[in-house]
Amino acid sequence: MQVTNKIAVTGLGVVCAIANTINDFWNALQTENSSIKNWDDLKHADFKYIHACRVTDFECDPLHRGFHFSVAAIEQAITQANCKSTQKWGLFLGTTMGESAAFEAMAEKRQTLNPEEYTGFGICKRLVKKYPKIKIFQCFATACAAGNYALKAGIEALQKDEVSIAIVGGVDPFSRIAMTGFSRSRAMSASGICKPFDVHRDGMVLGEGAGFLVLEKVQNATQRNANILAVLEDCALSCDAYHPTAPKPDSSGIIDCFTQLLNKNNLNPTEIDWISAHGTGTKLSDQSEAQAIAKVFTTHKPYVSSIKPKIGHTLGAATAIEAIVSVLSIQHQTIPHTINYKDAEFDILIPKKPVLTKVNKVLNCGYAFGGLNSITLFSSWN
Amino acid sequence: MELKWNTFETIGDSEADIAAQFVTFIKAKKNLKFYKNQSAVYFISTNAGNFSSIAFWENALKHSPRFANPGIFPWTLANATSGYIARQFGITGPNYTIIEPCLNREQLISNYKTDKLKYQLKNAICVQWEIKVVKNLLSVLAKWTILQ
Repeated sequence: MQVTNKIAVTGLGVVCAIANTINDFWNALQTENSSIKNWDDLKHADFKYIHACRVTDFECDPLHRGFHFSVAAIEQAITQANCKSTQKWGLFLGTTMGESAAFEAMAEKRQTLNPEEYTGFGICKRLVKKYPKIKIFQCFATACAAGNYALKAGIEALQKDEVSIAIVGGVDPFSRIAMTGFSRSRAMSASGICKPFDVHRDGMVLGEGAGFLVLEKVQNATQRNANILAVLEDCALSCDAYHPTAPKPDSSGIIDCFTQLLNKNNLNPTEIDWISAHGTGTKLSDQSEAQAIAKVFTTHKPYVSSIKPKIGHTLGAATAIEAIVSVLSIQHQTIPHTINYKDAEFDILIPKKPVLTKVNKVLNCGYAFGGLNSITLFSSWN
Repeated sequence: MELKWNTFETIGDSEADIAAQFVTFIKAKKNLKFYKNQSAVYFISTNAGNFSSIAFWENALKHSPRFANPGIFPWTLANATSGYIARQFGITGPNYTIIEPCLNREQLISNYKTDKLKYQLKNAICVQWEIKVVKNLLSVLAKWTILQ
């Protein structure tokens, strides 16, 4: 690809249960701390599992929590990118449920609300009102892979010169609907300890948050002397077309995404330094993911880790927040570890401590109900 | 690129039900063929998943979150119908669910052209899906077309 078409990451912003700034977030990723807690409100509402990763000390209208998370993350990202004077922004948002609390309120008949104001599109409309420079926007409701879909849309809008700055990310506030649904789908951790890829893993823990990145063409970033944090090279998508919730047993959809990225970007598997895994901690999803990695990376084993034991599964925000971690790992030349990982089941390389090493190329993986597979590729810049 | 839209209308008691009716209707069409990872799904809706989200939480409130009907949960996700279409037709290429109130024709064609090149797509099904509640039932008006 010509340098002029390469896409730079120039700003990052995050809100999640473990930190509300990028610096605090990165520092927290180096520790053994987790934000998983037990919640009395869930206990009183007769939830089977009451542990989750929720953002505290964040005051806002609960029916617009997703919007406010988004604003908090976007403000960080555009401040870092220093792009406020740049015209023609695009907004590309991924979410699973939008403002889930509003749908809960509608079911409880507490208030008469227009459902369409609380979807991801509703969040976008509010963001456009707050940031009038946004000229085009699109919302992807592609569940836990939604952040990567937004990243792909951002790349393409920039490459087609539809926008000069792409504000790209994902958001999902805490959802009692999702908490109930994953519990009833037997995907929740009974122990309350998320242990991705560990032989004793017993499920996921739900989180909430938002992650946003500022993207622009390298040429644009260079011209305005912006600091290029990393390059977003590409995004691969596929669909299992197999089962509403379970991954395909032969992992062929995930393998297809890995292969697309390696082939289209003329990469050898040995060039991949880190795989920022989906790593939910559920039996089936981790098995499918680990199996795909082992099949693709046969001679060289890149590091594989998941941050979900720290911040929970943030659903539509997950691949966006993990994209931020991918960029940070390149910036800091450090690979985050997977806490709670003790006993191996799969033939993949999972660090138990942060690894200081060369980090040039990172794959950011997200898979979702509906059989969606998505992987983005980040590279260091110069 | 000229888009020839077809329409489909039905009522049902759940989002799962109307999705099944839609696929049955499409399957009856002759000369409709998809090509695994060389086909794609573009599903556009303002409100897919909304009604199941409300129904699922009503069910949880009625029976307790411990005993909510797990069959409703996957349909709370807006992308459940596009996943269902993919499964029914074996479409393993890109699968999009985009939330917007009206179709942005130019954006759709632009996205399809990009994906066509990237994934060597032979075709894609595009569905615009709007649900309403009519007398305690769900009514859907779907517009659909095949992009070549």
